Amino acid sequence: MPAATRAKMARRGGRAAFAGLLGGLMLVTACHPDADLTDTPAPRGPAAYTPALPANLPQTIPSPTRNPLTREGVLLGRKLFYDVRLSGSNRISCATCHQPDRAFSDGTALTTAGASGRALLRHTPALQNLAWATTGLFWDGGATDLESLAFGPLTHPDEMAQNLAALETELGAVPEYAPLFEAAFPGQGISSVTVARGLAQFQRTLLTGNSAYDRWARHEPGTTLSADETAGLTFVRAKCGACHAGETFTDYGFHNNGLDSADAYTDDHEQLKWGRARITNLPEDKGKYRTPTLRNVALTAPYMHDGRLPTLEAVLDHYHDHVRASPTLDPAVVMIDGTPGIWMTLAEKRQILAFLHALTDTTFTRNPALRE
Amino acid sequence: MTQNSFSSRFWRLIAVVLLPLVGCEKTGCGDGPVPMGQPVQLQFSYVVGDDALPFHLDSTYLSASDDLVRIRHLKYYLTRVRFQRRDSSYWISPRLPALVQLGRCDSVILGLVPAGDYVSVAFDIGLDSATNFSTDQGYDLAPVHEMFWAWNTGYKFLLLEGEWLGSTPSSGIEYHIGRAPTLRTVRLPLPAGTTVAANASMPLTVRIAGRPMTIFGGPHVLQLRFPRNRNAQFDTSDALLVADNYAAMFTLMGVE
Repeated sequence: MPAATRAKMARRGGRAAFAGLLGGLMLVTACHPDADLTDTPAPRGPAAYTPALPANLPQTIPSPTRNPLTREGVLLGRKLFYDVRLSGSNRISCATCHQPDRAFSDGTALTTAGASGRALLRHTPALQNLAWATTGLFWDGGATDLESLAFGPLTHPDEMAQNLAALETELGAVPEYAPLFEAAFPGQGISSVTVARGLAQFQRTLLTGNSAYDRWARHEPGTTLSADETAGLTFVRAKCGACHAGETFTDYGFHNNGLDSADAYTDDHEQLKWGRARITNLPEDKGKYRTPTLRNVALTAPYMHDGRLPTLEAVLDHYHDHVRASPTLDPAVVMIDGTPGIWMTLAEKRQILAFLHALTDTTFTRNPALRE
Repeated sequence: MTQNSFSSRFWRLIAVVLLPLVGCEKTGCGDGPVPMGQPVQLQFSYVVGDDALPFHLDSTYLSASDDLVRIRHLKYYLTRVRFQRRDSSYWISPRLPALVQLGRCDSVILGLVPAGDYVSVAFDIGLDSATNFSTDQGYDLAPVHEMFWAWNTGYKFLLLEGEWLGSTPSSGIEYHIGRAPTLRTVRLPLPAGTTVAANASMPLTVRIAGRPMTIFGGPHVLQLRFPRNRNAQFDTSDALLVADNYAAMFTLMGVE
């Protein structure tokens, strides 16, 4: 600190004291003792668990080492997911907006079902195959993992509006929770940390891979796709696969698909409309959002990060007719002559729609293990 | 913080402090206790002005830019406490990050520092990148302390909330500072002859003064009439100024 500045600061402080605003002795209290860095979670605990995985999907579930998947953790997480006590008002659960019948989405563009009744600024995303979403969650990738994500909807005043300390107290007073937490997280108690970890474990089991397409792709006996469906698959692989890639039908990446021109990326709501750039602070990320999977896409209307497109037909119309140019527009939605958009005939639109419906997995949406 | 976890932490501390002493007795083999060390704590007090009068939350002070301000909340993460020897080697505390909160939690207990002569103490304000990757962590990193961003994962290294009284009604001041570029190291020379004893049961207390008003006027004098100087988040250019300032707010008062 420069001497002049230091002297000036001292003078200011002296004047403050002169103002007669000080007095009495400082309250000095000891901090809580902290644990050593070697204080890793206790080795005892439930056995690791890997749910059955469809053969055409990744064969491992990457979990943080601090929160490995266990049956007990998943069961606890499922109970928490459907429990309205997780909200401040005790009226809203995770499932209020993440409904199994809709592949854990809500059918609403910008929901008003939260604690305040105010419309959210982004569309409720579907929850499916997030076990492999290791590049960031939320539409802009702002959450590093499912564990850290949980505190967003839990505490946001327009969502569940929960005070985390109050949540710990409230759940601690529910007798049936104590054995469930102990079984899932021995010795770790009921805390917002174990709540988040249980919720994350349950969400990692929201796995979908048993649609008509999947059975056909795995060459299961008696499964076929129609001519339109296979033609639609071919189109999607060729023209949409840059982002809706592979068997997960998402690259879990971030792209600008031409919803807006650059002048839409305003600073309103703490740069909310910057998309991915709100997190990275990189101009080249403006207007980019996380690629949603195409799986169960027929169940997850409306579409896009703000739910602006009500139907799959509207989505195809967007890609064909309404892609807007901007400096960050993804090359995958630009035609070879430089025209924004993806060319498709009416027949191709019909085929694409047929294929997208073949990605509906009712064994997922009706799976009793994933429901309340 | 649940009763159980507090109790668990209390006994863990007792174990950390006592176990090495028990070990001395077992391994002494008639040659007397093996020199081990001494419990050490950092004791923070907060002062203002030439006379180092006690600083109080919710009181009104004049900043370096002649702005009347009131600080309502001030807390920060303190990590990687190091005691350096004359030969530049150092002992680093194995403790998890400590959340220091003005008015609530003003001391950091380090446990047993190895016996020897030390020339300086250093610590970081902030968290390393590995720790800062996720927010479902316990102890002083627990989410109930509300020192994290939920929409953009990471911890706030320092949180200051208060008011600028230069407008009617007053305007809020909100510094929520975090991310790697805002991590700051504070290094304070210890008085000559500072020695950590072997097998002393009484803790050595390192008394450190913090001057919260320096956050508005350390190396950088913040003109609080400008909104950008009243609201700094993450590691923006304004936040980096705040970080430089809070790194300059500590001085060593003594060791006893």
